[in-house]
This record gives sequence, C-alpha cells and structure tokens, in this order.
Amino acid sequence: MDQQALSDVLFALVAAREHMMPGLNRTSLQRLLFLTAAVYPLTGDNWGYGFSTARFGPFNILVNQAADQLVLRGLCEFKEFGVNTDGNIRAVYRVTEIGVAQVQQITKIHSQQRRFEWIKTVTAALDIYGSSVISKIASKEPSYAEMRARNQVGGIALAKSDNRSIALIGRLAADLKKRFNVDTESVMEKLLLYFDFLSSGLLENR
Amino acid sequence: MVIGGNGVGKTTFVNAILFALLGNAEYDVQNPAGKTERVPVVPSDFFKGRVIPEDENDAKVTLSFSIGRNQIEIARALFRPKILLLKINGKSFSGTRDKEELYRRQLSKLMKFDDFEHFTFVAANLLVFDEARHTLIWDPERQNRVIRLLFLTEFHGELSSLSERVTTLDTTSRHKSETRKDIRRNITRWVDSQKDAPGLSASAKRLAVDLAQLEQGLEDTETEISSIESNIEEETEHLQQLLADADQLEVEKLLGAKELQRTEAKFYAGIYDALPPEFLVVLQTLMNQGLCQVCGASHEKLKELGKKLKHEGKCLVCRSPLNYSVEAKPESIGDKLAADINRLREHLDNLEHKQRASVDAQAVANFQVSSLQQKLSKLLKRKKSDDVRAGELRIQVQKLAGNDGSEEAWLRKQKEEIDKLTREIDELNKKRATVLESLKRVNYEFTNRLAKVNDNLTPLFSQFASKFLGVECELVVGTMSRSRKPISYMYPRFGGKDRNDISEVSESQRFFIDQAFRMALITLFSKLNRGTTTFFVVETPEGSLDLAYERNVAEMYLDFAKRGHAIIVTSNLNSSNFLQGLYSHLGTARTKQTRTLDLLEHGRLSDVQGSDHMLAEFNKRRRQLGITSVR
Amino acid sequence: MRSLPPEERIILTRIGNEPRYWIRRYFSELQSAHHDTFFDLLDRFKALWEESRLTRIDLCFVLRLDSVGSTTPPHTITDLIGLQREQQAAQYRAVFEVDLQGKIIGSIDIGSEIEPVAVRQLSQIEEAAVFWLGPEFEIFCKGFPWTPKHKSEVLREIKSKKRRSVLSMTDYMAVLNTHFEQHVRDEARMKYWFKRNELLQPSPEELFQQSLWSFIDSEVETLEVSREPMFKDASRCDIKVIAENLDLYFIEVKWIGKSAVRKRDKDTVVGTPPHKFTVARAIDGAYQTKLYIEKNNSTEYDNRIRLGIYLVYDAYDPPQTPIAYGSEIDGFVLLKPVEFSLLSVAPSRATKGIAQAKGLVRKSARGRTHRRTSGN
Repeated sequence: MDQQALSDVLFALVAAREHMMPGLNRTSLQRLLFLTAAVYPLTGDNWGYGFSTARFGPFNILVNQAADQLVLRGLCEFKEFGVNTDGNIRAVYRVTEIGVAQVQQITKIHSQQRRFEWIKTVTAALDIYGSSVISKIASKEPSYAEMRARNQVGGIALAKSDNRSIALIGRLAADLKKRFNVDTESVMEKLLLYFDFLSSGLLENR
Repeated sequence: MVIGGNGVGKTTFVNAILFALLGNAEYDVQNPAGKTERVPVVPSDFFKGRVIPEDENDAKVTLSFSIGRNQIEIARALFRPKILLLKINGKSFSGTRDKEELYRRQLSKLMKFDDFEHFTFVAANLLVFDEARHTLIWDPERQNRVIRLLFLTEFHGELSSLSERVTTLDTTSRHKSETRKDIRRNITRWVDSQKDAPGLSASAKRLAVDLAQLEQGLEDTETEISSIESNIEEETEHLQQLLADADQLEVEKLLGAKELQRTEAKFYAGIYDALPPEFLVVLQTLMNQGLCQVCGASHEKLKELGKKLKHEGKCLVCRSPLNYSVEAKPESIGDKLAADINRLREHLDNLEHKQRASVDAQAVANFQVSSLQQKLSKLLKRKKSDDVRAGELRIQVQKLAGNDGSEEAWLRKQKEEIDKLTREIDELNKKRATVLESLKRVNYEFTNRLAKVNDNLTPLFSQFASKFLGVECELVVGTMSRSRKPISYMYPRFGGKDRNDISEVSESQRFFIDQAFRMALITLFSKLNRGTTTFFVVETPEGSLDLAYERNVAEMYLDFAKRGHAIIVTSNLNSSNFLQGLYSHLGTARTKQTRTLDLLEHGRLSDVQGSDHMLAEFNKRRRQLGITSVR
Repeated sequence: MRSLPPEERIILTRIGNEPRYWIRRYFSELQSAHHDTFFDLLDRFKALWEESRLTRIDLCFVLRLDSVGSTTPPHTITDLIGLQREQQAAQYRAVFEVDLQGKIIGSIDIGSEIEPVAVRQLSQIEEAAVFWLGPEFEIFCKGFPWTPKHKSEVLREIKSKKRRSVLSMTDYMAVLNTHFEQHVRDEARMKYWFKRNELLQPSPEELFQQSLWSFIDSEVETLEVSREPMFKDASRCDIKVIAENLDLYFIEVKWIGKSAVRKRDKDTVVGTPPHKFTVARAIDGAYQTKLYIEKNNSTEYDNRIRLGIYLVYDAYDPPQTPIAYGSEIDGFVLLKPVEFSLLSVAPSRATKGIAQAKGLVRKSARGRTHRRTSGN
C-alpha cells in the first residue's frame, strides 16, 4: 500500500492545483488526506491505510514521506523550501506536469479514479472555507478530537463500522431534515454540513 | 442444407436418417416423478401418415456412413422393424438372422461404446437439436450422462450403479413404509370394530377411540419424521455444498489477490520506481568526469567509484542494492496493466459479493438444519411415548373387550410386523446413507475430473458462443442435488454472471448457447479421438432468432463445419439474414447446389405452396441465395 | 438514528439558521443543486453589506432563480460603488434583480423609498428571496423574515470563501494587532471595563487570556495552542503556541491599572478598594519571564523557543505605556514586550494622523504632517 499514499499525495496536489490553492506543505497534506479519509466511508469504501494521533494532529508516516519521494521522481516540486533553525525542513509542494500526466495514467485504474474524484470533491468542499482552515477542521474531526480529549494515542478508527465522522454526518443530516426540513442528499451537501459543523466557532468554546 | 417450407418433410427427412442409423432403439430416462422409462429416438409410428398408404410396404431408407475407415451401409423398412440390407466394409450380411443385433454389436465395437444404448443416447441428445428444442446445457442429468459416455467413461458404470442403488433402496424403503401404513390401518379398523362391539363399556369405547387416534397419530408422526429426515439430509447437503463453494471462493480470492498484487507492483513500478533523474546525472558525471555534483569534489579516482557502484548495482547514497537497468515502460504497457488491474478488482469484488451471499446462505441453511433437528427430536420423543401409550391401550382395550386371546395374538403379530418393518426401513435408510456417501465420494472425483475436461472445453465453447453472443463466455462446473443425489454438470457464464438456470438467458440466446455447447463437446471429443469427425443436426434454427443474431449464428455453424464435421441444417426457404449469411460462405454456385437439398423440389407441396405466386417467390429467394432451380 | 447530544444540537440550530439552509426551506430548487454558487452568493451579500452599511445607502436585491436576463451595468453585486450610485439615481427606490451567479439582471422601481416592510411584501408577492442590506442584514423569503436567534453570531459564521485567511504566527505582530483591533479595543467582543476608562472587571487577566487563546486557535495557523501549559521544569506560562513550522512562541498576558474585586462570596463585585497593578510590577514580570525563557531554552528541551511575547494591556488614563524595561530586557532578543492601551478614545482622536497613515500626505523632514484631515 506504499504506492497508495504516494498516489494520494499526488492526487491531493493535483486537486489543490485545480482549486488554485497555493502549494501544500507536509502538515496540510496530512490534514487534507486525513479529512478525506475520515469521510471516505460516505462512498461505501474504506480508505485503506490509517492515521494515528501524533502530537500535532493526525499523522501517517507514508504520507509524510510521500511528497519528498515525489519530488525526487520529478512528479512534484518544491514551491518553497527552507531549513528551520532547528534543522527541520520546511517545504511547500506543488505538482509538476509530469505528475499530472502520471495521474492520468494511474486513474486508468477505476478504483484510483474513484479515489482521485473523492479527493477532488473533498478539496472542492474545503476550498469553500478557504484552504487555510483545513487544519482547524482536521483537529476537530470527532474520532481524533475524542482521542485527544482522552489523551489517547494510537490509530484513529476511521473504518466504516466505527467512524465517528460518518455517524456525525448521519445525525446532522437527520436532524437538519427533522427540524429544518432541509434535505442533505448529495455527498457535497453532506460534506458542507459536516465542515460547517466542524468549523463552527461554537465548538472552540466547548 | 435442407430447405423447405412447412409440411414438406424436413423433419421426416431428419428422422429418416436417425431411423436408418438407430432403428427403433430406445434409451432410459428418468421422468419427473423419478421413475425410469424407455424413450425411443424415433417413435415406432413416426412415419405413419407421412407416406401414402400404398407405398408403405416399399418405403425404406438407406444410409451410408463411415466410422473411421469402416464403410457401413444400412437399409431399413420404414414400416417394419426390419433391416433390409447391411453391408460393413463391402461385406454383406444377408444371411444373418438377427441383423439388428449384429448391427448394434458391430457399431458399438467400432465406436468403442460398451453398449449400443450409450450411442443411442448420445446421438439423440447431443447430435440432434430437433424441433422439441430440448437443451442439453441446462439439463444436468442428460448432460452428465453424455459427458460420462464421451469423456469420463471410467465413471459411468460406478456412478450409474451407485445412483441406481440409492434409487432402489429409496423405493424399497418407500414400499415398506406403505406396508407399515396398511398394517396400522388394519389395526385402526379392528379397533373401530371393537368400539362398536356390543357390551363394551363407555370407558372401553373411549379407550378404543383413543387407541385408534393414537395409531393414526403414530403413522402421521412416522411420515413426518421421514420427511424431516430427508429435509435435514438435503439441507445438510446444501450446507456442505455451500461450505465447499466458500472454500473454493476463498482460494480464488487468494489467487486473485496475489495476482492483483503482482500486477499492481508492476504497474506502480512504472510510475514510482524510476530512479530520480538527478541521481542518474550525479552518477553519470561521477563516472565520466570524476566530479561529484553533490559536494563538488573532483578526482580521477571518483570515476572508478562511479563505475564500481554502477557495476555492482549499488545506491550512490546508502550502498543498498539497486537496479540501474529499470527503464521507463511505454504507456501502452501501463494501459494494459491498468486494464488487468480493473479486471482483477472487479473479479475480486465479485468474489467478495459471492462470499457475502454465501455466508448469508450458510446462516440460513444452518438455521434450517438446527430447527429441523429440533423438530425431529421432538417428534422422536413424541413417537416414543405414543408407542408406549399405544401398547398400554391395546392391552386395556383387549381386557375390556374380554377377548379370547386369538385376537390378542393377531394384534401382537401386527405389532411385531410393524416393529420389523420399522427396523427394516431404518436399516434401508442407513444403507442408503452409506451408498449415498459412496456416490458422493465418486461424484466428487468425477467433479474434479469434469473441471479438467472443462479446462479444455471452455476455450472451444467460448469460441463458438462468443461468435454468437459477441462477448467472452465460459463454462462453469457446478453440483446440484436431484432426488437427493448429487449431480455435477456445466453451465455457461458470461457478462460476469452465472447462468445456471435457463431463465437467466434470453429466449434467442438459450438455443444457440446450447448448440455452441454441443459443438464444443463434439469438437473436444474429436480432438481427443484422433480427429474423428461426426455429424450434427439442427432443425429450423432461424425460428428462434433475433434478427441481430442471424449472421452470427451462420458464422458459428461455418466455424463448426470447417472443422470437418457434417452439419445438417434444415430451414424454410425465406429471406432471412441467416440463410444469406450461411450461403454467402458456401462456395461456388455448384457447391451451393450440391450442398442443398431443396425439398420444395421433391416434397409434396400444399396448394398454397404450389401456387404460381409462391413458386415465383421461391425462385426469387433461390436466386438470392445463389441456388438456381434445377427445374 | 440516535438524536443529537445537546451541544451538537446547539451548533446545528445555528447552522440550520444560517441563510443558506434557511432559504432552502422555501426554495426546494436550491435543495441539492447550486450549493456552491448559492453559498458563494450569500457570502458576497454579506461582504457587500459589511461595506455598504458604512455609507448608509440601503441596497436591496431580489433573487431570480430561473432567469437568464441581459445584464445592465453595474454587472455584479461586487460593484458596491456602481450599485450605490444607481440607487442614488433611482432616488432610493430601486430593488436590484440578481441571479444565482450574482449578476445584476435588472431592477424594479417599487415606487417609494425602499424600506424593510415594503421589501418584505415584495418577497411575498413575487414569492422570492429578498436581501435587505440596510443598517441590518435582513432576508425575506416569500414574505417570511429571517429572524435567527443570535443573529450577529450566525452572520459571523457565514464563511468567506478565500477571504477568510488564517494568520501566520511568524507575523506575530499582525496576530496581536488583529486580535486587539477586532476583539479587544472598545470592548469589541468582551466587556472588560467595570467602570469605563477607569476600572477593569475583576480578574481581567483571565478575560484577556481566554480571548487571545481562542483567537489564535481559530484564526492563526498553528499546530497547537495551549493555555497555561506546563513546561518541563513544571513552571507555567499563559499561552503556548506551536506554529506550523514547529517554532515555539509563548505569551505572557499582563495588565496594569485598576480592577474591581470579586468578594469571597463570589457574587458581589466591588470597585473599592480596587486591585492595582503598577508599572513596576509589569517590569518585575518581564524580568521573571526572561529568566523563565533562559531556563526553558536549554538544549535538553525538544522545541526551541522562537520568541516570548510579553503582552501588557494598559488600563491607566492617561496610559502609562510604553514602559521602559531597561537595557537588559531591551537587549534580550528572545523576549518582545508588546503593549496596548485599553482606553476608549473619541473619534476625533482616533482619526488623527489617518491621512498620513493612508499615505495621502507626505511627511515633512521634521516628521510633522503638512495637512490634517479633520474628524467628522
């Protein structure tokens, strides 16, 4: 599944480019893919690889390494690059034309095409809120937030069966219908409702 | 090509050939009630009314054919069971008394059939697709038998005899049950008469009524028990089949997953495993100029280092093994791999879907079995207590009736008879179970071998059937239960779906899939037997065709014929694409002519068919096909 | 389906009251289509209102869901000045017709100066959604007014596509200034005066700390913001921020001036005698903080402190800031004192120097301005 993280990062960079988002850094890639994975069961499938709670948010080591690997293979490039005083590399990535061409090749696999479409959909939804709020939203993702609140470490449960995001979306949609008679049918609507909820200022004062 | 119109004798012609070949030969089939009956290939009175009465005496059919290098000529009287002429390799058998017997023996020998009936069965069920439109591919029993006779002869005897033994044991046990039922009825009748006997007290009468009811109840319980037992057996069988299928699915899934993994690895290697270009630049400069582009060091010796690393296939940075010869694959390979991955994923999804369905079905079957078992144990308990109670009642009733003892003896005898029968039935059932177990075991081996036959058969089937369907299709081996006996057979699968029931294919598909199956069987048989060729008869195929399929079917027949087999097709002289398509491949006008039997030229036409208008129309159609009238 | 727990219910109520959900109740055609466009339109209305209310030229729009009309200038709802000029020319009687894309496709003269009651009727007659951009932002759907509870908060919740950018901690002064401008000054989002310009509420440090913490948490790109976190040596600071690039900032929040006092019974607050914090104490605090940075910045700790911010809110009138901390603090690069005066000022004072600030006048050699704009 190593390639999947590579492909996902590549997909995310293409999606970001399509939404004219500035490049993504490692952290925002983690956040974006984490959110994408958290709501993936809306499609009826499971994401495949998982994320775990790390000190500064959901984290997957493969995703973390992917962007640099892609740079070395010419599929994406550094938009910004710097080394922090403490030696950490600070980089912003964007996809190259070769990378875009490879995405076309990869998406000839139907399952990859579906995945790519999904990443684009979630990116489009998040774009409405502005790309920079992604990390704020990611940190409020219910499975992750719950674990943080309890100071738990380890894998974040995102599988269909025990995915809190999906459960939350279900509750919200049902209640919105019941109390406001507003239907939330399309996936996009569900995502917007969910992101509306997570980005709500009220949550912060909880 | 046998061309005609309605009622001019197409079927008669075909049957005349079969009659010449087989005479009044019959074969065994099981009717829907499970009873064996004899079926003739050509009914004895078939020709009645098809020949004008004054010709009946002279009417005969002569057929010349060859088996390998042996020439056979046979002539039969149509209205008498008599062989008029029999010549084998030029030798006439005019003096032999029982020519039929001789003919059958010789034919069986030449064709390496143990029994003439076997040949009869194959000829009637495989080689002829007649107007009855009976399909072989969706008739597990006939199909199973044909395959046994053609490919897996070593199983034929054992499977047949085991199957027969199961049936016999079943029948015997059923008969004994009937007898037991009769005895119980007799007891009930006797008790009935007792309760009307004068001088019997009210309480005795009541007891008698109770006993009568109890006897009847016992009989019902017995019936119910045996029916539940057979249900349990069926369900258990079904469950075992499901479990076996589930195992098979698991294996398929594992294999599929492995293949997917391999294919994905190849696909992604083309995308992510290419060496970074910068890396290659550094290596190249190191080798050629002795310059390290990373740190700027420059030395002659560095050239050696570069060459060594490349030669040894080691990474410049960490010295781990590295394949420098990995080259970018052309996009077309990637496309093919992507298509393979899609196909494999779909396959795996399909398998998973099936697995889920199988798990559900297992749960249902398990539930059925356990609830049936509960029911059974309740019934057995009831039977036991009823038996005891009935015994007590019998004694009491006798006492109250004040009988002399002879009646008591009679009753005891009846009771003993019942017990004996029950023991025998149990014994028979046990025996049946054992034989069935053997049958299953043999059938299991048979199924494995059938799967091997199928490996060879499927490509042939696909070749014929896809000509017609336009999509790839395959044969799948399955096992079903008929009269509680396992039977393995093959059925088609296309469009990602098993078509094990005739209702899963359209009306116009089913007959041609069946013909493709038969042609595949014949072709495989021919392959396995040094290129033997045979014949295949199809009656009026165009009748059940969609316009869209007509040409495809013509191609399927041509493909079959090109393999050297004789194919006899009867058809009405019409303007169908089917005829056009077929005739466009039949060669020169002369060949077309010689390959056509135009019954409209020879047969008895109806008034309408004989009208000037129709005759002109027929001629027009003949011209279209390229067969001009000889008249 | 399990029903929502109370806190989720509160948020959902607020979301459900957002115009984009509320309006959809009346226009089923908006239920599943156009979500993105519609969302964007509302956002632009809200932005337009925020600008237009300052000039007090009321604007009103009726939404046409089905029309594809010719566009007359001004073309879109983003052209505030064009729209206002046209409204003036129409003697304040125009209602603009707008399509989902925000294009102006026509205007209606309603015969008298527009006001909420009239436009509400318009929405009823036309069975349309009408947006009223006056002193208040109002919406009417088929005659029904949009009256959510907590309207101002709901309005604030309307997301601004692209416009809502998150601040970066690297530009920490922008963070502190924005927070002060939008959340503190003139009691923008909290009541901190017990007695205006004289006496702060009791325990003001808590107020200021909470406000800054939640601002950074929601508006600044960070990996982590914590209140009163414990350092390795078991000491605590007020706010610790770990920026995206793993730089560590911590902020000490102080105030000087006088505050009211909550009595022991917790219910009564009294102004006399007040608590008093002097400049001297602020200076003491700065030295203490310096010590603290030095202790926690040694190599055995994982994150290096990028900067300590010593934030002082000055409640004195006249202000006692800037404070002279002395060379030891001034020369210590890891500690940056930042000061804000809490005094509410008259508008004339507030606009003093605005021309220069906006670059409209040149500065003289002696640093004085040539021309001054006067307050209104």
